[in-house]
Amino acid sequence: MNDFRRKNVSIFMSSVRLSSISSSLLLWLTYVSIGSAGCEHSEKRFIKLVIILTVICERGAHYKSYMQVRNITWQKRFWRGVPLSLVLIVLLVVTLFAAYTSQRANKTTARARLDDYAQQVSNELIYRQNDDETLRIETRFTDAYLAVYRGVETGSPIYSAGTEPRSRDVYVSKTTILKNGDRQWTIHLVADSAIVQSGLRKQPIAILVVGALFSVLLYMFLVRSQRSRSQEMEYETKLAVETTKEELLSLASHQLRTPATGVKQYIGMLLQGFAGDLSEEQVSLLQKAYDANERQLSVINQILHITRIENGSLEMNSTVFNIGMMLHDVVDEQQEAIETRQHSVQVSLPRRPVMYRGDEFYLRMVFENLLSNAVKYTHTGGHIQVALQRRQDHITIAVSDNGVGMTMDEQSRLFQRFARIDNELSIEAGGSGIGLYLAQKIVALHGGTIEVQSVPGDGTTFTVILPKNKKIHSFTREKACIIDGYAAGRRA
Amino acid sequence: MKKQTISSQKILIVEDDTALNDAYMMILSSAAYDVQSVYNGREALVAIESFTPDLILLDLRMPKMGGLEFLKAANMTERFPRTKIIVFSNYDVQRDIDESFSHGATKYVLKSWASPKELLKLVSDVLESAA
Repeated sequence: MNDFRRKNVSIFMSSVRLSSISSSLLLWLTYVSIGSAGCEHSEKRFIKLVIILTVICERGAHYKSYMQVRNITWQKRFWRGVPLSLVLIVLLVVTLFAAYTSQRANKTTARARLDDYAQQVSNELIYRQNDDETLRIETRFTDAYLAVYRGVETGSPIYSAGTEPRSRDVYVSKTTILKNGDRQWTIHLVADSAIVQSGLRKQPIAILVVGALFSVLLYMFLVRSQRSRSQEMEYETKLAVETTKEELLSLASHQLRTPATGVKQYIGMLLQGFAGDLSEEQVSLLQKAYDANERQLSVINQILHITRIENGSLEMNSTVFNIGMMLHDVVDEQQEAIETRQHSVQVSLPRRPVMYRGDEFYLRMVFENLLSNAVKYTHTGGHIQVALQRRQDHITIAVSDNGVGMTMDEQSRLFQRFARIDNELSIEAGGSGIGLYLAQKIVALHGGTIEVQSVPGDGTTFTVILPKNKKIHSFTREKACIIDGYAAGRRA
Repeated sequence: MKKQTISSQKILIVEDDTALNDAYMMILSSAAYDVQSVYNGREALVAIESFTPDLILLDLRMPKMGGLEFLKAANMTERFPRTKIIVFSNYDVQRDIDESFSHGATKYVLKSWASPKELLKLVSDVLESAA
């Protein structure tokens, strides 16, 4: 199982890594395409931020599902991740510092180059007209070097006091201080607003919208696919655990049943005279050994049924059968025990046969258990009644006795697994504390309930209420097996 | 008259557990069936050729060759359509049950269910249904 789990976790993690890398790559590609199409610096910074946040969210989602699959809690993960996180933080700080320094250096170099350039070519690029403090542009030069100045007439002012363009119109904006002798000009290189509006900015917006939409969709798709994969993994793991549990249990019950089967055959052969006649005392002793062995086999079967019910792997066979006839059969089967304890048993059925759709095999197990309890927990010479009644939308089967009864506290523990009620007959009765728990589960699978009414010293009534025409989802394939010894296979 | 039909009928026991194999042998022989026993599917493949049983009491999990492998290898449904097969296993896994029926099993019975008396009744019921 561990191998299976490990293998699946590793497959899952590879898929997480792959999708994470591909989605990050696509997001960055989107960013680059937007950047190269000419977004402004502030926009690029915003997009970068969105991308980083998206990647962080995505990684978070991956780790959440990863931790779910590996059953790791946030706390565990946190402490496990501290050393790695420290290393990552140091790396991040170093990288950011390096990036900042190089950007600063680049800026300084660029400014110096521009200053230098302005000094060298100022006569051609920009000229001062008369005593006007406004720098004017020389287009012969700018046409060649700055495409964005195309269409600007020679002599246009680069900057005039009071006509500073609004910042959102600025497409290319460079500021430099130009010194010429003792004079100083602040130069703003500003694009013409006509150029700004000519559609250059529409392209990056379109790309931004489409790219962002694409990224969000991609992100949603990846997160969704990973979530469903994670759920699938969880289901697969659960299934594997259950299958392993079921196989282990089948194996264990097989190993337990086999020697008990041998004991059953050999004692059975002795009892049935295969080795000659036996004295009454010998028969009595062997019968006790045989019965004890039968009880052991029955406990093995009950444990198997319970585990299957709890696993959800119990397979039922839904057929229509005469429930009254089944109740008669159950009483007949226990006739020997009833006679031994000198009880009188009365079965009362409606005049018309009651047909019921359900699993006959498992329901029979329920009534066997209820009747067997009534027989065991009633003093010798008691009276037991089995009554079947038909109601409009359900049927009730009541098994009553005038036995030892139970207190309210005992009744509340009755349907718990391995619950045993102590009274004067319980030691003699034996039992595993599984029967009623199993009975309740089986009735619940039929959509019904078991009610109990009891007075200590007066007796007990168990009432099974089974709804009619209820569709029972847990009924699956046909069970074609004889378990616990009911006559004939379920499929001939 | 019943005795006569029974005495001519042949049963092959395929069971790896020696204690159970011996027990089934004793029980079925006591009812005057012609009984032969083997300990795994491979031995059963050899035995069916010469013995041609009317009924096979077949365990599932056995060394060398299991019951299901035997059913597949022997091609029981095609080659021995008249032979009845009672799968007699202490496993009650639905997959095994389904596979046994699809490969020609007549009944699937939990081994621990049958007492000697019940085993005899089961065998005679299945053989009688052969007619």
